[in-house]
Amino acid sequence: MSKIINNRRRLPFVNHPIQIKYLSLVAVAMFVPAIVIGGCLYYLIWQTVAYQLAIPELIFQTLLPAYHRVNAILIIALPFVSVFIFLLAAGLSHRIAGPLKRIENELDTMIRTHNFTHVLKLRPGDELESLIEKINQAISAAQGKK
Amino acid sequence: MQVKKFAKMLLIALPILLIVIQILWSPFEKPEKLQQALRRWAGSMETVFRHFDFNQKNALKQWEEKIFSGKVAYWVDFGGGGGFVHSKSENTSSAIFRRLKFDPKNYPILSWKWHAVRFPQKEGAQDQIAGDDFAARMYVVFLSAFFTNIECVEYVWDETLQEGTILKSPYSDQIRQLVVQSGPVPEHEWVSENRNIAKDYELLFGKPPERKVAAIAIMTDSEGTASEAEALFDDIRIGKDGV
Repeated sequence: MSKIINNRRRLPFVNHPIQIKYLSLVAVAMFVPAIVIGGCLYYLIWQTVAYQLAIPELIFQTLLPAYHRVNAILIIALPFVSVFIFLLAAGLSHRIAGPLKRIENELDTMIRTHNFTHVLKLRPGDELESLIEKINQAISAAQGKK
Repeated sequence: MQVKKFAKMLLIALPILLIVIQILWSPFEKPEKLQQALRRWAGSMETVFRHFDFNQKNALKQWEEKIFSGKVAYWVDFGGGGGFVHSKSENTSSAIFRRLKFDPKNYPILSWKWHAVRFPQKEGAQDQIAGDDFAARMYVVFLSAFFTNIECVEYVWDETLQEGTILKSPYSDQIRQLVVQSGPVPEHEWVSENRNIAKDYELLFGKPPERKVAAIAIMTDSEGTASEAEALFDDIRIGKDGV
């Protein structure tokens, strides 16, 4: 099977609805557990420490400054983490959406030009390798029959 | 036939006898959770939720201690026929507390006896933290869904501030202090307090308490003034009515 060497896509986005679908799925699969688990841990840790400290003066004197500091760090860090997760989701979804878009384009070209000698190619890291291989084999077999 | 009858009676009587012995005299410590469950179950009938008379040497066993700055000595002392908690702070600050869970609407009355032996020297107090030293104070800590909303009513005994003075803790606005005793009293004279927690909460926070009480605590501290303080506490009682 052919691969396009040193020809990575510059942007991890293609104009195809399947990428939006996969992007949403991957993003939700990353964000929702992170928010649920992170939120539970956040609540549990603060409440447990506060429970152990028990005396309000001690809580407000020692725990509250730490709580404000952690919140400040989170406010600064969370946008960066969110962007990172979004880009990661985009990259992962693109590995499926990218070759799908390519298959569609190549097949469109073949149908339009009636040139079935064309070989479908993948970019490094793309998924659907076996599918493209089967399509190429099918095209070759069809060519052989002719 | 007689032997069979006797055996049957013994089978019924023996467990009952064992239960009675267990109730009247138990070599083991009664499980706290069982006691709490029984109290909750019988809560509506009970007049007194808890009474700490400190008449046993190990009366502070189930009280926990939290140290702010140096350990205050808290011990059960005996004199005048019964036990009491004796606290002594030498430039230190720590509290002992007891976790409890009760609705102040059901058990609004907190009563206790106390005696301030020695007051922290506040004359030269420079800041609010130094002014926050008290010979004796009683905490009522209210539960909250998250720790930032925790609220606390503190009854304090101050040397100079007038009775009825309301103070805000220098640590948080959610800790309100009410001066319930002022100045020294003669030696060996116990002062009795009888406070309605729900009413005092309303007085201090301007709204009725919505949450349950999570703990009560007692404290003697003198670290802010780098001085010494000493107090006695006895007969802490939580109930429906006053003593």
